[in-house]
Amino acid sequence: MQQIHILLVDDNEGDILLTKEALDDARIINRISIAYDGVEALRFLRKHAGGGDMPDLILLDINLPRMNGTELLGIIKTDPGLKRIPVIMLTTSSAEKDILASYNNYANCYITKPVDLDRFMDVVRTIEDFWISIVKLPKTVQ
Amino acid sequence: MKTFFGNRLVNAIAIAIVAVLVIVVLSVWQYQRIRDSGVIIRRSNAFLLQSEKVQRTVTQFEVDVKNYLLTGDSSFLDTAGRVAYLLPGAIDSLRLLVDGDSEQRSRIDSLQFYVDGNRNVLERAMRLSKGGEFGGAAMLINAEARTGYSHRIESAIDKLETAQRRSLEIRRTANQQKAVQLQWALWCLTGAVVLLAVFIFRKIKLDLKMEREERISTEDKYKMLFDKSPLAKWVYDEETLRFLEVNGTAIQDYGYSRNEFLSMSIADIRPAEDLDRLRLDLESVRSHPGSFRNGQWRHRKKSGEIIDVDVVAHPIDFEGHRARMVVVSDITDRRRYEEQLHRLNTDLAKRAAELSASNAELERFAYIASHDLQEPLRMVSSFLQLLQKRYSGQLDSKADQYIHYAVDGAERMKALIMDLLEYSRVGTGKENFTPVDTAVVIQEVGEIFHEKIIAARAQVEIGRLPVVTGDKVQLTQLFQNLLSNALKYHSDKPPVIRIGVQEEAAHWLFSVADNGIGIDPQFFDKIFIIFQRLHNKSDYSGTGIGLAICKKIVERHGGRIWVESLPQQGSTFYFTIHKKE
Repeated sequence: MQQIHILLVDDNEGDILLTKEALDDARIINRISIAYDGVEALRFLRKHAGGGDMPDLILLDINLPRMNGTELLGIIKTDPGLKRIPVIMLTTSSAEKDILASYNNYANCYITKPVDLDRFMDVVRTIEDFWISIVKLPKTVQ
Repeated sequence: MKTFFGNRLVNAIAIAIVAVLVIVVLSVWQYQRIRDSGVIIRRSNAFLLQSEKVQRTVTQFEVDVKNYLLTGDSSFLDTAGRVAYLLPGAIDSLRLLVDGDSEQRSRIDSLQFYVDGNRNVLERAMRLSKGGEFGGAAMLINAEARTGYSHRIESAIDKLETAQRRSLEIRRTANQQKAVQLQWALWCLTGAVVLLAVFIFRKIKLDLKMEREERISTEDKYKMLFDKSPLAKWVYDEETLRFLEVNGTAIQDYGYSRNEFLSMSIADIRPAEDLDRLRLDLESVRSHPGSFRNGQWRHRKKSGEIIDVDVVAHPIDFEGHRARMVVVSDITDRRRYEEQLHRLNTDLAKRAAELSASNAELERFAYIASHDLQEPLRMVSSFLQLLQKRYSGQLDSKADQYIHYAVDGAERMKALIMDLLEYSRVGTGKENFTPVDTAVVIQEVGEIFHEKIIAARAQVEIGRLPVVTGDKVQLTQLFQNLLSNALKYHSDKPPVIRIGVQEEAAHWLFSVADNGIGIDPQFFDKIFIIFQRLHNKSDYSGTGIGLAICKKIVERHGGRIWVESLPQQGSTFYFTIHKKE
């Protein structure tokens, strides 16, 4: 089975751990890359642009140091080499302005991190299930 | 008053004029009468003379005839002829003099008859004598003496004269009486005229005096009005700018004496820095002569104190000068109060802005706090749950208990933060106000609670509900919180909940009534305060924010919320929604 590559952009170690835990339980074998802020994530993406190690999915938090999630989203979605990568906003914010800014910048979907652990686990698994198993995405190989 | 006096004066003068006219008429009349009676007297005298003449002529004729008869001297006949010739004319003259007096006339007729008779006898005697019949003539004369023509003539003339004298006397007496009466009337009238003249003179004198006094008192009054005016007033010459007159108030207020004022110009009571403005203003006054001016200035008193004044000036002619009359009111205090008020208002506006800023700050703070608190809370709660899930049973029972309390605490904190977030989201703006059908809102809320209603075997009665203007999301939350409370705080009976509305003048009065455990009146106010709870969390779960949110929502809709309740019998929550909001 093809290995799935997920780029997780989050500055919260706890959330990273929880996300990892959730993905560990997943049926699909995956590989997770971590970036702690927007700048780091962009550098990672540019480094692997056009290469075989491009992420299949990006999980992007909003409140990030240096370059925040919506800024990074804007850059990704206007970059011809990056814009087809699905970006799922996964954040604690449920503020209307964040939701609106995300969709205006072509986020593929917006999810508020559930406070409850079980629900959080469910959400992460659902993301994986939907975006990896159900949705048909273009081939990553250029 | 004046017209009254005037009328009396006019009347008096009219009466006097009439009286003088009457006097003149009476005098003329009396003169006429006197003249008339003079004529009458003259005629009477003439009558008497004439009657004497008739008598004399008759006697002469008789004597001449008798002399002829005695002497035969024919010269006596000539004389007698001449006399006889005169007789008729003399009697006619007499007749003319009696005029219209018929009695006298009949007497004259008798006299004529006697004279004619006498003459006939004497002439017949003369003719007999001429013929030589002296005896016949003597007989005739003797017969005549018997018949007595001469005597009768004498007595007729006597009667005539007596009657004439009597009538003259009567007339004179009457004239005299009338003259006396007239005299009296004239005296009376003259007296009246004199009295009237005196009255008129005095009246005129009195009127003049009164007029003078009135003029003096009017002058005093106006002088007093000018002098004792509560406002400073003065008059200045438009050319020289010198003071021409000042009132007592100006003297008192400014500290200059009258003479000092009159030796100064209006520029002398201005602070030096205002002189340019004064010059400009005076130029504009000169270019608009006759204009009415009103302005606010600063004046300097003798003491050097500067006061703010409101000045009204209008043009007048004053003792031959082209001048302006100025009324000054001191507005220093008013100005100060205005400044104070302005300062106070500015302060108040600043405070209001600060308050509103601090309110907004507080809400932002509550939002950020609750929002940002979620992040670490999620960590605490998630990892505790993970710990519970993965390691439950691997630690001792005490550790399991610790984990349980930690998880429970984290859960409650989560609920608090969610509610706090909700509370802070009820803003103060009215940006989302639209017409909202509350019947639809209740229906939606009912659907949310559908399962709970079935489980509690609750009965929800809903009356006719109106369309109001408001924020639909918040109104939904309002009903949701109230219905949630009504379902939650039920007694051992199945809950009965009634939702109704009453239309009032300015607002809708909604009510949500239950038959639950009720609320002690001492807590009626407390329940609407954030985080105030009446029950132990083990009896009834909750954060104590629900009703605080309700209160905030109602107030945002221009209304009021309160509760009426009896413990163990149920509570009714009332709230109003402003109709025009």
